[in-house]
Amino acid sequence: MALKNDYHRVAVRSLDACDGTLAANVQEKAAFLAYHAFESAGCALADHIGLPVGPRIAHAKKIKHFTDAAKVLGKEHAVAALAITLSSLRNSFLYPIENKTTGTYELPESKISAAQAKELRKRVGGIVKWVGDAL
Amino acid sequence: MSLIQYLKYSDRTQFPTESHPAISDYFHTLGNHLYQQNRSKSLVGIVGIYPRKEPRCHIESLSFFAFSGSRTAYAALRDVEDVFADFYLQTGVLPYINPLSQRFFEKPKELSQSLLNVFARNGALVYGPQE
Repeated sequence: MALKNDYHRVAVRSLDACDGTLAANVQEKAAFLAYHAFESAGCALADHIGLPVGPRIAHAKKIKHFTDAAKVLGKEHAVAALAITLSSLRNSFLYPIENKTTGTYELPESKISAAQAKELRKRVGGIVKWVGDAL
Repeated sequence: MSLIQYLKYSDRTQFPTESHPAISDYFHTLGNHLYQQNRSKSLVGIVGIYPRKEPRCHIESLSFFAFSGSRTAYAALRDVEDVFADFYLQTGVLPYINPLSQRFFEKPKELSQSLLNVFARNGALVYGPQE
């Protein structure tokens, strides 16, 4: 199987895990899995059009490759908008982040509601399906 | 003292043109996008942060703080992602957006001193209330 298909498989399985996590009401972990699915789909599409992928590529560069690849296929705005939200929030879905006023730490679960995580999963699912159709 | 008074470049028309010309251009372009296209009633201000050192090569990302009345960080980002996406597609510079409560825009003294120092040294008002 080509590398692009491997990446797409990772994306699909991340969405499956996201669904399970949503069912368990752990919305911040579901959101992180949606992010992982998004980035993996991006690597699949980048590989498809011949751009480099893999762990040595910095995050911002991976996202740039994804949007460049999406531009070729005419879906760059949806990819860019999701990329900005997910890139900005991915660490806060994983770790407690310092509250700038109190100096205390805010839990990842406060960053996204269950309904918002479901909406995010739906949006990422659309992108993953679109990438799968394009490969 | 309002947040705008803390910002080194508190007037978006006064961005430095010599030390960080490319970044000034990015902030100016983004500011224009936001003033023309922002539809969010929750968003009260955007502060951009100049990097501490001038980048030696192409800038790949920039940090922003978005002051918003949205209840969660996700909702705050959802409100502005479309406008930032246009900016990203035009410039290739990925924006990392930190959402903050809108009340800090009016009461910046409630922010940590370290963040206020960042605003005072490297902060630029990209979007905010117009006179």
